[in-house]
Order: sequence, then structure tokens, then C-alpha cells
Amino acid sequence: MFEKLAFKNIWRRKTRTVIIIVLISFSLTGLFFLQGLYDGMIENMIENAIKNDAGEIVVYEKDFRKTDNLKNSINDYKSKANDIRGIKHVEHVSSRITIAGVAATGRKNMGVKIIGISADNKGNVLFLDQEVVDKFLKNKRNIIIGAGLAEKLKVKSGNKVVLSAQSRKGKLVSGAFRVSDIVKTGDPLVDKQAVFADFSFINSLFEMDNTVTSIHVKVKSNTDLFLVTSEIEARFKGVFEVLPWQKRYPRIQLSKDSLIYYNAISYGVVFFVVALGVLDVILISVMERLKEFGILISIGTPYRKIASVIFLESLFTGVLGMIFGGSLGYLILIYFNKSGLDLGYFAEGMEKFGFNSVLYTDVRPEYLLYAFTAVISASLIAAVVPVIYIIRKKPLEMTRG
Amino acid sequence: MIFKMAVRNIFANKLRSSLIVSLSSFCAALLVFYIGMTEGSHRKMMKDAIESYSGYIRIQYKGFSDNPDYDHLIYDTSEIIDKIKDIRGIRNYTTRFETYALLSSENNSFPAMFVAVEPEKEEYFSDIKHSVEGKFLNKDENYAVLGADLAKKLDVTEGGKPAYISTGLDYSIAADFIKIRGLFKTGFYDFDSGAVFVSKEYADNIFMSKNVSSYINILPEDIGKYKELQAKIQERLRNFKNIEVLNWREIQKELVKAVQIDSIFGYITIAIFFTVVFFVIMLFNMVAIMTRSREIGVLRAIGTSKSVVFKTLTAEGFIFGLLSIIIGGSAGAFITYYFQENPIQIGEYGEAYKELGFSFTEIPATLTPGLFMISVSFIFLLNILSVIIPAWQVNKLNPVEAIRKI
Repeated sequence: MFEKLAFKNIWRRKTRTVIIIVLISFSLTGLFFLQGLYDGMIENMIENAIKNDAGEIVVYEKDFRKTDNLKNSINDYKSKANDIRGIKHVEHVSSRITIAGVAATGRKNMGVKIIGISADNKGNVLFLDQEVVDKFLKNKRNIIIGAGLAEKLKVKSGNKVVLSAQSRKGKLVSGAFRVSDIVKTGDPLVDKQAVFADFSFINSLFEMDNTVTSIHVKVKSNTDLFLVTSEIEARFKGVFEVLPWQKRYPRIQLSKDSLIYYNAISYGVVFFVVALGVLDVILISVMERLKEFGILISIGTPYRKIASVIFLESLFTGVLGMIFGGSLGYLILIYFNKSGLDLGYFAEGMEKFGFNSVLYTDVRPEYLLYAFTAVISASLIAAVVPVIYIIRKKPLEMTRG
Repeated sequence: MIFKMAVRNIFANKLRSSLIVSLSSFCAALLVFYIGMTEGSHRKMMKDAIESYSGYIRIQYKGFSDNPDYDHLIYDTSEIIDKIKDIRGIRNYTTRFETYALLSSENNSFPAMFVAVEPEKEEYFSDIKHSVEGKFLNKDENYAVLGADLAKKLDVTEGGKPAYISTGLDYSIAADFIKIRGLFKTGFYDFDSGAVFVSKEYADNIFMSKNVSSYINILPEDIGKYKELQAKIQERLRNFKNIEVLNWREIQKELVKAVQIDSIFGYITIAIFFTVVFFVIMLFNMVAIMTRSREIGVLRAIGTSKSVVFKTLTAEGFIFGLLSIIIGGSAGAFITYYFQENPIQIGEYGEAYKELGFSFTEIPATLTPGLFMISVSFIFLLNILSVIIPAWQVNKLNPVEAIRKI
């Protein structure tokens, strides 16, 4: 009966109730959209980084990254890769040769990163479509280059490019290659610098003597990342530098961490403002009905029951806002998760930050949980003041209005 | 009289009034601070990018930005300089020639951007000279200054003599040894790990680039008037059909768009917050006004016109807005000023973004009268708008109906 009473009470002043429901709905829709969008952007960056790196973990010889010197490449890489492959939770392992060099066309020279990949090893080319891989595999002198680099070099598929770099033995070596495809990976550094070439050909051209510059490890599940990283570190202590994506891309990890604070602050602010709104509406509504409450108390209704009516009114307002806002927000998230938000006009700017120009929102059920907790807590806390107000009044005083 | 009535109404419900003023003062302070921080960080980002290397105004061959190759160089540099050097408003000008080269030391080889500059003028156009440890360039010798990270990778130090190989303007091989005079650390990843600077006079002999430049950089006397100066230069060079004059917004297109998108995301967030706050303030006003329905009904019944009632209620919004500006606006201005003088240090966050071409270790706020006025006007408007709906609603009631209201 009290539930019915509380529900009917909230419609006594329709405009106010509607405004407060709109307020809650709008704030939730806005929060959902922003949280889903920002989470989607970060997840997209992580996904791109893992695909481009052929796994979550990259393993280098200890001094390689400091010096970029091919003399610090990994010897006997096959057996080391096999050893890593044997670790539980490892999905696949691949190897790469990365050399800093120069790409030259008839008109232009550019500094590039020549990356030798075995395209027949699926794990090595997660970022490429099968069609691109098939074309690439047709000739050992085929190369795939990043879209940004192709733009600077003014080359298209089928054009010739000369790659030059110092070999592992210190000789200056050049080779002519043909562009089989141009790719956009979503990582601005890869797109502006990377030239992917055939692993075996690069191995022999730059006299790598069957060494590689990095081993790439894909784990079965994200939850296994820490375990696998620790296991590789333990097996190759002092020999390898083992970098999970969080260490390889600190900017992504930092953005992810910052987002946690951002979301907490956003929910906190909305929680506070919604609580103020609900408090105002419920308090005034209680003041208007002071006489009714006075009569109820006079005929023996316990304060507990009166308090529960007020709490229920506040709760129903919050729940209604939550239902409308939650559903609308969630639908918007699903829509942008499927069709994406195209910010093509700002593509250059987005790429500068390392984001794709089409953004896909993340949809996580926990958003509903956070929103539910924030709104319901705000509604209940907001009802405390009106309840105290009633308790402090004397029934006789209340009956007089 | 309207104003007097509004003041009395405000004092009649002190709790509600103080809540509205607190809430909108908080918003005013937040908005002044937020806009100050956003603008401050963006201005710093742009200023760093412009003054550390790219410059305010650039004269270049048409299409050089998209095709920075040897077909898009300025081949009549001195003629262009003769045409523009007496334009009022030009503080200084310099020429640069940029290409790529493969640098080799005994142990390693690396590609690098090879930049030939006029050593005596470069300090007006970039931070390179000030970032050098050791000595800067001489006019004509084969001296070079290298990015510190590049030197580390090449395993060379000051006094070292790496070789380089590149392509001359006639597409012949351009190669020589350079003597390292100093190493620089600018904070920009692209430079520190991938650039080498030599004197233009020296490069002209090796690359056959006498009277040839990639572009001419112009430093305005007054950087705020860059557009006027750009127009003057364009006018003076109107007969050079293949030459274009770009300002920093056109040179740094990518960064300008990055800043725009960052602003858009920021303002969407703040807009959502302010809409929520607007609703709450409106609710407060609505409740306060509707509870005075009887009183307003009596006023109407004794002949007060709808417009006087509306004006009185709007005056309340006006006073709330004014108080919010005074309290919140000054608090926001004070905080913004503090962070303008003591920028927020972002340490590892800035470090992490270096590889994407951003160089910032601190975020300063900026407080300008223009930005302050925009922020507080918005809050003022919000307060006025939030009383309009309730005022209109209470005016809809006929006096008898209003008197009967609780």
C-alpha cells in the first residue's frame, strides 16, 4: 500500500517530477555516451597496438632498444621462440627484424623502419587482411607500407622503392622493392614510418645471420598477460627485456588510468547535482503535505512508515530517471558501437593523438551498475533531509499546516 | 520597485537562494578555470610547436607541404628575399633546406632529417641553438649539431665524425663527413632522435643548393598581427605564381585539428555538466516560484500586470546571475591566475606523448579578459534562462486559480 501511495505522490506535481526525471535521464545518457566513447577510444588504441605488434608482449635483447644496434639482436631465436611457445597460456609466437633505414623513390628520401615479417605466420600479420597478405606473399621483394609514409613518399601500389640501411655486419646495403599494398594501422608511428618486408629476404639482405630483433607473443586471454610476462622474464632473466603493451605504450596505459579518475569525478559530480535536485523536489513536496503527514501521525501511523513513503518517493523518481536515461544511453552506445561516430573532418587531428577518425563506443554492462548505484544512492541520500524535517516537527504543529 | 521586490523575494527564502547562488557560483568558477586551462594548454602546445621550429609565416613553393620533394623547392630564393625584405612588420627572415640522409658511425647507421640553416639567424626561429650542449654551427664548415638521442643510437659524442649519404639536387649522391659540434635536446621526439643541423652555406656546396631553399621563414614584429603581415607578403609576391605564403595555422594543420578535437571533447563534457546544473537551478527556481503561486495570484488580483510579475521573477534570476559572477567568477579568476603563474606539472604524462610529436611537461592556464567575459556571460545567461520557464508557467495561471493553490 505504501509503495502505491509513494508512486501516486510523485505525480502530484507532474512538471517537477518530469523535470527531475529528465534531469536524471539526461545526465545518465550523457555519462553513458562519454564513458562508452572514451573507453572505446582507448580500447581501440590497445587493440591496434596489440595487432600491430603481433601480440601483447614484445621481447628484445636487453640492450637493443637503447642502441637500436643490430649487433644486439637475438641469436638462436628459433629455440628461444619455441621455449616461449611452450609456456602455458601462450597462443602464438612470431619473430621480427626491425631496422632503421631510408626509403627512396626517384624524388624523395625518407627515414623509415624496415620491418621483416613472416606473413605466412598468421600471428605476425594480425593487422593485415588476408587479401593483402596473399598479394604480399607473391614476391619476396614486395613491401607493404604505412599510409602516412606512402603519402609523404608519393607512392602507390605497384611503385618501386629503394630501401637502404646498414647491415648487421656494418655494410651499407640497398635493395629495390615493389609496394604491394598501403595500409592504415591506426597507430600514427607505424603509419608514418613502417615498411613491412619479407622476413627471409630482409634476413639475407641485411646479413642478419639468422638473428631477429624481437620476439612477439600473443597470449590466450588478457588475464594471462601478467603470468606469461613473469614466466618469460624468469626464463630469460638478464638476457631479455620483456615488455607487455602497458610498458611499450605508456601513453595508452596513462590514458586508461586517467579515464578511471575522469569517470569517478564525472559520476561524483552528477551524483551530487542529482541529489540536490531530488532533495529540492522531495523537500518541497513534503512541506506541501505537512498537514497530511500530521494527520497520519496523529492517527497512529509510525514515523518509520512515513519515512519509508518519503524514501520510496525519492527512490521511484530515481528509478524512473534511471530507466529512461539508462535505456536511452545504452541504446545510443549500441548504435555508435555498430555504426561508429565518424569524425573524418578531424582525421588529421585524431591521428595526431593516435585515434582512429571513426570512433566506436564501448558497451559494458557495468555502466548500468555504476549508474544504478550513483542514482539510487543520490535519491536515497536526498530523502534523508525531508525525513529529518518531518521527524523534528510535532504532529499538532503539522496538522495546523 | 521591481528590483526591490526581487531582492526581498530572494531574502524571503534564504536557504533556496544560497543554494542557487552556491551552485551557480561553483559553475562560474569551474567554467572560468576550465576554459582558462583548456585555452592555456592549447596555446602552450601551439606556441611550443611554432617557436621551437615551424615558425609563424612561411614562404614556400605551392604544394610543398604535401610534396616536400626536390620538385617543390624555391629555386629563386634571393629574388624572393629581395622582394620582401623591406616589408614593415618583418622582424627577421631565414632560409632552410631540408632533406633526408643516412648517417653512419663506426657502429651503426640511422636515417635522419638533414636540415641546413643559417646559423646566425636560427636562434630567432627555433630552440635548437638554445638546446645545444656544446657549440652551435659555424657559417661554412662541415660542422653539425645532432639530436642527443640520435647521437646515442649512433654511439657518437661531441667531436665525433659520422658520415652521411643523401641525394643532391641534381640527383647525384651527396656524401661527406660531419664534425659534431654539439648535441641538442629539445623535448621533441622527431628532432631529438632523428635530426641533424648543418650550416646552409656548407650544405649548398654538397647538395648543389645555392639559392635554393625548402622554404623561407618569417618572424613578425608583432606575432598577433601575423595575418596582416601574411597578406602584405602575399601582395608583394603576387607575380610569383608558384609561391604560396602560409601562416602558422596552415603550417600546423595537423596540430590545429588536434587542438580543435580536444576542445570539442572537452566542451561536450562540460556542456553535459552544465545542462544538468541548469536543470537543477531551474528546478529550484520552479519550486520557489510555484510555492509563491498564491502570493502571485493575490498580486495579479489587485491589478499587477503579467509583465511586472515576469520582470520581478526575471530580476531574481538577474541578481542570482550577478552574484554568481561576482563570487564564482572572481574565485575562478583567482584559481586560473594561480595556475597561469604556477603551471601544473604533468611529468610522465607529457613524457609519454613525446613520441607523437607533443612536447609538454607543464600545463599553464591562461586568464584573458575575453575568455573571462565569455565564461561569466554564459553563467549569467543560464541563471536568467532558468527563471524564464517557471515565470512563464506561473503567469499562465489565472489569479483565482493561483490564489487557491497551496
